[in-house]
Amino acid sequence: MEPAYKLLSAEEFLDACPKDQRHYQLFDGVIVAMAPPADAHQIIAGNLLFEIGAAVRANLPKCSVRSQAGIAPQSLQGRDHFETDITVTCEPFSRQYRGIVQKPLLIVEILSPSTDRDDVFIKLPSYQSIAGLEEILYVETERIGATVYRRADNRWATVPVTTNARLQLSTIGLDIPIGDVYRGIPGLSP
Amino acid sequence: MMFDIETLEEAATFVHRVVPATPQYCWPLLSRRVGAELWVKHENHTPIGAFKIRGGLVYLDAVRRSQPDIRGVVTATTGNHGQSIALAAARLAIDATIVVPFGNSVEKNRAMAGFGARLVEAGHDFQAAFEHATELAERENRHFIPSYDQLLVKGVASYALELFRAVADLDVVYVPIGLGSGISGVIAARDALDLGTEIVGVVAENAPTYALSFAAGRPVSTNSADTMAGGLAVRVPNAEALDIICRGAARIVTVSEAEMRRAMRILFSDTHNAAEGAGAAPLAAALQERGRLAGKRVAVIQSGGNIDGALFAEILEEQDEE
Repeated sequence: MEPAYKLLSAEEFLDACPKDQRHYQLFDGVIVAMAPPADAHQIIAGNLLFEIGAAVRANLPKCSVRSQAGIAPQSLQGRDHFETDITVTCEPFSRQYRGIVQKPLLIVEILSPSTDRDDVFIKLPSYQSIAGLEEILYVETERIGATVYRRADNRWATVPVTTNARLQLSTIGLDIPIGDVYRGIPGLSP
Repeated sequence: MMFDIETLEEAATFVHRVVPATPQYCWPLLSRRVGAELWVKHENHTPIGAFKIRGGLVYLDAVRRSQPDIRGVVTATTGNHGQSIALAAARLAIDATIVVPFGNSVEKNRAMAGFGARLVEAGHDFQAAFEHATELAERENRHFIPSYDQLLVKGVASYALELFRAVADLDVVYVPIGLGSGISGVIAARDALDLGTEIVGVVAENAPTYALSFAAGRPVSTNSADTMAGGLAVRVPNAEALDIICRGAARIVTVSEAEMRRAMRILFSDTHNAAEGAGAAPLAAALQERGRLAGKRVAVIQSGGNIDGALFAEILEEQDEE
């Protein structure tokens, strides 16, 4: 009796994805609609884009910073298509990949209570399987804090960033107080 | 067709041994607001204050017949499904364990325990409670009851049979969609009776998985379901229910939190019935679609009245611009 809805590949997802104002991802072949980001999420994203943009312009001028880039960890034939908050890549601009970054250098995800399970248990291991990806930054929204996952000798090291520490991303040469990420958020702003 | 009329009538007869047919009233004040002949199917008048009891009775009777030595049942819920299973299990002297997430409604928890169920709190949301419940069922060798099943649909279809037989020539019926057993039952009854009534599903704007899935013609989950209407707070659609809805519903209407809250106030002021968020959502949808209902005979399913006192008081205090 159970109808067999076909699980989608990332390529099929790009064709089948509803064309409306929402943002969608593909988790294991199933389309997932994303709720609009909360206020704190929007502010943190803005602050990080500013800081990461400045670091990339200064240290990696041939690379680009992308907001809401597509990532298909297992290629277009795989069953995942994620949307990152921020991605840094040094690959040349091309429309042929349909918004998917092929070779990310740094991926940033801003966590929220409704998404952190997926971010931690599904997206993180998937990101860590991408060849050439050097750093992943997960930023908290409910409190000051972040985690940097950094590739070292073919393993992933985990670096927690606590309230008064500095946020250091070696891939792009970023070194700022973590508090700067929360500028403008009442109760968290330095 | 999901079920023939004989199957649905047999299930309804069984349900009516425990739950008398609920009333459906045409309320003049509501009719005036909607600009149509508006009927309310009062599923808030069942012994648990919601339609779910009908499905629980049929499901557990079938389980008892197929597993006479059953040790007990386990299910996960945030509300009415748990009360349904608790009451239906107590009637058959079956041990029922209901797993609810931490922070669940105190009043609903009390009602489930009041029917004799063992209440277990686990997990931060329904999904986590669900996972705990499946593990518990396996560990204790108890039967796990899903929140959507054809047996549940067969039972809840009894309210639709009552409605369609009591009110002839309904043009439109608005039905709230949680996981989908209610609307599946209404579609089943409509089809079994060979009626032309439009079935319109209603979902919360903040929990739109079935609206998105209906539009896409395939399952579309959401990453949150942040609505005060617990009965509509679903993130992942059931594939079987979605298939039935896609084939049998005319459309799906999305209502905002403010529209549901206003509909709860209206139901109270015009009929003096308390409605939970999901129970008021169909009226909110009919009010939203007022323009297309003129002169029609319309029914809304008030699927339940289990609203916490403090929240209801807060909603009744809010002012409408009228």
